[in-house]
Amino acid sequence: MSELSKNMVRFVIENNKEKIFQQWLDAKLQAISQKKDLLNDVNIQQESRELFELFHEGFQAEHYDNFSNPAWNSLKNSLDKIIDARVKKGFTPVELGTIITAIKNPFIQALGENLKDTNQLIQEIWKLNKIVDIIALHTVDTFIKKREEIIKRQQEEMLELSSPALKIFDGIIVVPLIGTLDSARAQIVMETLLHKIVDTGSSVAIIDITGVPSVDTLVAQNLIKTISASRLLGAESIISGVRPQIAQTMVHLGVTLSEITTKATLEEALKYALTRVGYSIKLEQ
Amino acid sequence: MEKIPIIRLENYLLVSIQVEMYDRLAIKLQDDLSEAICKFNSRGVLIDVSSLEILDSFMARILATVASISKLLNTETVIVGIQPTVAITLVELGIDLQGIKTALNIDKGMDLLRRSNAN
Repeated sequence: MSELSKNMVRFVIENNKEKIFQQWLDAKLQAISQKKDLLNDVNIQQESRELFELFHEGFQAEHYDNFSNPAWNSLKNSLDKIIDARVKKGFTPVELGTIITAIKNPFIQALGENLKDTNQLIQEIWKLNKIVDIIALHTVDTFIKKREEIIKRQQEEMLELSSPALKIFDGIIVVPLIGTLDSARAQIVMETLLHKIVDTGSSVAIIDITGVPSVDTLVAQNLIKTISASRLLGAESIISGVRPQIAQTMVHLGVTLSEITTKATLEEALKYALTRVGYSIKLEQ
Repeated sequence: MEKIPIIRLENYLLVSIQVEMYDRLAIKLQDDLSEAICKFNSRGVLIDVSSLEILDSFMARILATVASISKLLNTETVIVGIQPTVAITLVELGIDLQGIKTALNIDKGMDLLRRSNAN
């Protein structure tokens, strides 16, 4: 492509900037018409203008059809921030992708009106098409990655939230377990329990498994490990909330908790714990 | 050569490990303790490991050996101050300190020793 032609493309885009921007803005507003209430109009104008300028910056580069070209860096950064905000607002990746691809039409129209050489026109349209597709796919990809980050963070939060160790009496703590006890959770439960024992100086820990739907050999192993570790800290751990079905399953599987004290209910466990610590409760008539 | 000081407290022996343990030091401790138990006719031994961030299988074996030796000499041993992270590692490695009494801190450890002596 001759020097003159290269400049022609930039020239075309430069001279039709406003027209292209307006057409893109209209298409964009249409694409997100459902979600208009999540953004206010002023923001869209402002944001679109900024984004457009960055597109423009990218197109200024000689090899603008290569996304690794540093001219596209500002666009990448800006897109990253926009996508971050949109993911949290509940937009879909398709909506975001459509906003990007909507820029093709206005640009192609402008090129078509101004480039008379058909071959050059086809070449430019092809390059434009290629880079906008890449940007759109990049947008969708970034969106998905950010969503996965959110999911992962929520999972971690859930993991921490669901395993507190509570001091219910002088020298007694309770760990109410809700949900499955896989190795990851078991690790957190163990750490939480041990640190609580050290913090409170407790001598009895009650692990309540009423909320644990099933206990297989893996879960039993995790429980046994936790109990052994607490023993090293001088505390006795007992298991409460063993339901009939759980008891049956465990016997079936040959899981022996022979050295571990187990109680059917938290009430029984508490009574036992109080005796171990040295308290007795009297009913005042 | 370095050695771990053994402190006599009433009829009990108190050992507080404040330095990084290495094999020779551990073996020396074992020997020194056995001698001290005999010499002072102690009724109990309290070993404080709260400063130890690492308790490997060798050290665990030494502690178990000390407990067995003292039992033969009619003395009770209590290990106190095992850190949560150390406890988790021991359990994960399957190192069982079965038969060794443990307590959270020196206070509770002494309580334990006094109670078992009363029996």
